[in-house]
Amino acid sequence: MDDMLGTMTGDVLLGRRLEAYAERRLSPDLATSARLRARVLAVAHRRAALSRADAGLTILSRPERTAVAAPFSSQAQAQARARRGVRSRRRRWSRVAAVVFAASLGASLAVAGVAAARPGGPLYEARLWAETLTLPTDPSARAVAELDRLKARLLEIGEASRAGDSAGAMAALQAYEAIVDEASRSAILAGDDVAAVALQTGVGHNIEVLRALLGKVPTQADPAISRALDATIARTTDAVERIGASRPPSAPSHDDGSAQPAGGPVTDATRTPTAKPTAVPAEDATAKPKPTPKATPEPTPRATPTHTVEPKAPATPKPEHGRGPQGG
Amino acid sequence: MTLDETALERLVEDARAGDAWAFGLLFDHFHLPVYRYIASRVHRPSDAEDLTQLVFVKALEALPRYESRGIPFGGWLFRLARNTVIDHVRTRHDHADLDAAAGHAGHEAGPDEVTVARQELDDVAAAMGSLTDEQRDAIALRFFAGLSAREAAMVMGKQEGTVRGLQFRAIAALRRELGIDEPNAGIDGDQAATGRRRAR
Repeated sequence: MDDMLGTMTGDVLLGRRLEAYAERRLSPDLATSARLRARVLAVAHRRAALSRADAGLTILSRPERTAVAAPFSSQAQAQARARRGVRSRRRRWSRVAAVVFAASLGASLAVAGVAAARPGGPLYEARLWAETLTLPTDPSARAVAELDRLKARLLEIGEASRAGDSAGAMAALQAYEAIVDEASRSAILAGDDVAAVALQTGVGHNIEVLRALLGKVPTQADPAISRALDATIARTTDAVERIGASRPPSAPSHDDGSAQPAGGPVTDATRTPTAKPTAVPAEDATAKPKPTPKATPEPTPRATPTHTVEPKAPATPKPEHGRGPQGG
Repeated sequence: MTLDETALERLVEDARAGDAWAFGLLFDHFHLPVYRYIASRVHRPSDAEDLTQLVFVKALEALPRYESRGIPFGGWLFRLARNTVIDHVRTRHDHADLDAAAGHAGHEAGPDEVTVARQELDDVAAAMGSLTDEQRDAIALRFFAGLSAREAAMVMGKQEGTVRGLQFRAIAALRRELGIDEPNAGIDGDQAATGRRRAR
């Protein structure tokens, strides 16, 4: 201040008095300066730690900062280096802490998510919807993928009914029915023979599994599960029939509709038998405790529709063959 | 600590990027002039301490949005300090009369003040109290904070010539109040502009 006032006014006395005033009345003492520095830097470090925690999740390492200390003395440089060392160690630890935190958060979310995505859980519907996002567009590949989903639902039904979790079993059964409906509709609309055969065969096999499940349920679980299983079996059988009916007749078996597209006449023809087989398994299901007597009457009504719908012969017999050994 | 402009710019850039260490160096460089400016505008040392802290915390928060655009970091920081003081004075209905701060209520005389006549310091405080708000602001920024006339003008939002005029009249008033004879050379605003910043 001496310099400033001295050069500009020549009034050394005023300069000295102002300087003395600034030094003694307006300057912080060492304790105040230290307190201020500590408080301000605590805020700065907290902010830096927060932004590091944000950035730490992406684990991007910043390039080593160029020395700011160019105009500093060598002692200051050494101090700066030491500080930088401490900072980088702290940064490393905070990154590790951030990763550990993220991992544990992820794990707990995953556990909670798995629990919530079980049949009957709040996220079950979302999980089913998410499954549909990965379905392939190619009809035959889609049919195979849908069969996988059906298999998963069968496992869920089995687990839930074994555990006596009727809500879970019902949810899985509903999901199963919805998938069967959707898959059969898609296969029919696509007009893809491979998809139809794959679905018909796979779903036909599932009927056996559902029946086996039904045999195990009544003693332990809610009768509602048995009823739901009955309904699912009926609906699945219906779907198998629908798919079979939609398929074009194989050329050598029938001459009457050879050049005709299978659509019109065949669908009409299949509608009659479709109703019949569905009714039959339903009756079977009610008589489920005694499977043996059912075997004798069943083949007879089935044989009739099979013959009437000869064009679909390759598909329809499969479930029958499957049932044969079980029934007998 | 003495830092040249380039080093200051680097520190500001680093601090903007969230480097607490760089901000610590900026604090070391600026805290004394900022504290002096604030202390010259408020009554109590405890207020000066709180407000200085507030200024640096505000700077820390506003730093990511700071763009040089011709305003040096020091000018930007003192503008924050000035606004903080104005807010403080408004909220406390405190007109920052330095005559009231003549004794700096709560200020205890240290051993230094025994040797330097306490009365002289009180006289300077009283003389500062006789200035208008703007004159006091100009003196505080120019002589206590060590800003150039241009920087002080930037902080006060006035023309550089206006600040020189304020300074001229303030010095004349101080001399009068303190009973110091006017030197032959007189007080020259242009000469004042050439004065070096003291605190840097």
